[in-house]
Amino acid sequence: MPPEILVGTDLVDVERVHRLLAEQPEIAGRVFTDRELSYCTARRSRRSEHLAGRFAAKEAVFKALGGAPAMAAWTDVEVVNRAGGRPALRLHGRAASVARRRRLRHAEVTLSHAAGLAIAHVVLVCDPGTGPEQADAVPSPEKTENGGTHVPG
Amino acid sequence: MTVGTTELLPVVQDAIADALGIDAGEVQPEATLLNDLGAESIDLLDILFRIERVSKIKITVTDIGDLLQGGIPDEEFGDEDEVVNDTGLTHLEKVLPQFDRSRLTEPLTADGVLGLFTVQNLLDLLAERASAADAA
Repeated sequence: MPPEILVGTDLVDVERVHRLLAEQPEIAGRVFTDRELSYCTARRSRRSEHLAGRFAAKEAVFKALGGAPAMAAWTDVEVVNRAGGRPALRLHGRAASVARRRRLRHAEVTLSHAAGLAIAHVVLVCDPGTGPEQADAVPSPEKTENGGTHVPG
Repeated sequence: MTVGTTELLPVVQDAIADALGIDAGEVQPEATLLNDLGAESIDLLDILFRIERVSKIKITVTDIGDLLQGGIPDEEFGDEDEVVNDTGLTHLEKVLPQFDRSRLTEPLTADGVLGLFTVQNLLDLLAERASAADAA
């Protein structure tokens, strides 16, 4: 059987994110991981664009997984950067649990921003099968140092 | 004294109105946050923080999700196509007093569950949280 492909896209108003975090700075720690905040803060004048892109990525993952946003924490989806700067996804907590149920094998995320908008596009490649996940039939996800699941991409 | 939904209503109305840029009068208890008032995820985040700042009652989007799913595992809440099954619908009727499955015009999918959540449901959750904090 061919793999199942799940996609998710989200578009975020950069100014909306900037205003939200300016008015309520405590939100940052509940939405973004320390690593995401460090990465984006280092981008100084483009901090809000990068944060908005990551926010869009979290939403896009939730959409691709099929309605998980209310059930998972924002920090359950983390965007990390590979050595060359290319973004990758790392899932934690409930988002990782839903991804395992979906038999997630591979994920890709792209981010872009222009004209005051940030966009994220996520593609999740899942092993076929509609029944409950058989733990021994699915490759074990790679566990990260902080307990998250690094999704190969 | 425990804060009730009547006292919380203006707090919630102001928070929603400010976050969405609408008139507080539009924020009626029976309105659904997503479908009727047009809130998106980022707005929900904004609304809950505004309420927390004024009322000191902390509610997260995850708390709302926990209420809606009630700890029922995904595979028991809906089928493989994410359509909410009898177990899920029964739970939703329990936690959302206004919800009536007989009025559904099409199968309810998991991503539509949050769309059922009304201003009154938020008020009830806040009041319950305040009551629990007082009792602790």
